[in-house]
Amino acid sequence: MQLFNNSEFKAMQKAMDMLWLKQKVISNNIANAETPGYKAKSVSFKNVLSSEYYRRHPEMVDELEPVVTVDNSTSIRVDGNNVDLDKESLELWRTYAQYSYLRERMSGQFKNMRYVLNNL
Amino acid sequence: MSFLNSLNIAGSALTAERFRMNIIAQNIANQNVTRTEDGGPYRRKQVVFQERRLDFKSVLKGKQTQVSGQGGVRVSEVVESDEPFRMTYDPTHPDANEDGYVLLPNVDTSEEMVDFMAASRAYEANITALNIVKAMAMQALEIGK
Repeated sequence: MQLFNNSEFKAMQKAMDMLWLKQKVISNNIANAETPGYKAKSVSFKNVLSSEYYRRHPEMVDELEPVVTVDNSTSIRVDGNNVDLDKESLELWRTYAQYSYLRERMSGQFKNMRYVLNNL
Repeated sequence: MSFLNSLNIAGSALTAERFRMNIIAQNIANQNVTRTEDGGPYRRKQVVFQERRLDFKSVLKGKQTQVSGQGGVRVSEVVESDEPFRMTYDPTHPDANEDGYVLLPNVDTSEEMVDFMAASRAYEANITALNIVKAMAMQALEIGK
């Protein structure tokens, strides 16, 4: 059905899924802040979304997959761990804010739909 | 369920840090113990953390991108320190050797206290993370309201 299956809905759904994954990876980094040899992981999807392919086919948003990368280049502790707690918690708050914003947008869409349906 | 899984990540760290604090308390409590079951003075114990990988089944089931970094942390082992024991001169001590020296545990209280503070700060960081995750989950429940 076109009403629910439009690309805006799909995009928001995908973005929320990705933010959820990001939140999990950040939690994992914070959980491993004291683990020797652990390297911080990060999720990127901004680059994926702005890729040329997606710009040409916005309806293909379902196929996008987030990328989890490991930062092996640095160590901020002697035991090889490179989790920066400040950075991670800031990133977690950012994820939360983005998630809230998307939630708001999605609710707005549903509100519009409800309005239309009630006034037929 | 994925919602419960993400709480487990921070939860695993809370368990691990609490375990670490228990071991530190154990070290401090035993800093003057000269008799143990294995004989000899108490040895300082240290906790070793390890990243917890997802189990094989969930790796097989999940997508490639979701394999890394969602398992949390676990305590892999508790090792006993090989540092030399402290030697003090106390001929009246029942465990003193012929020369009057007593071997005391290799526990350094200030080192333990620093470790304890690090553990409790890590615990707090995970509590904060847990609260944000919880708030995010509540947000998800409000979609459509």
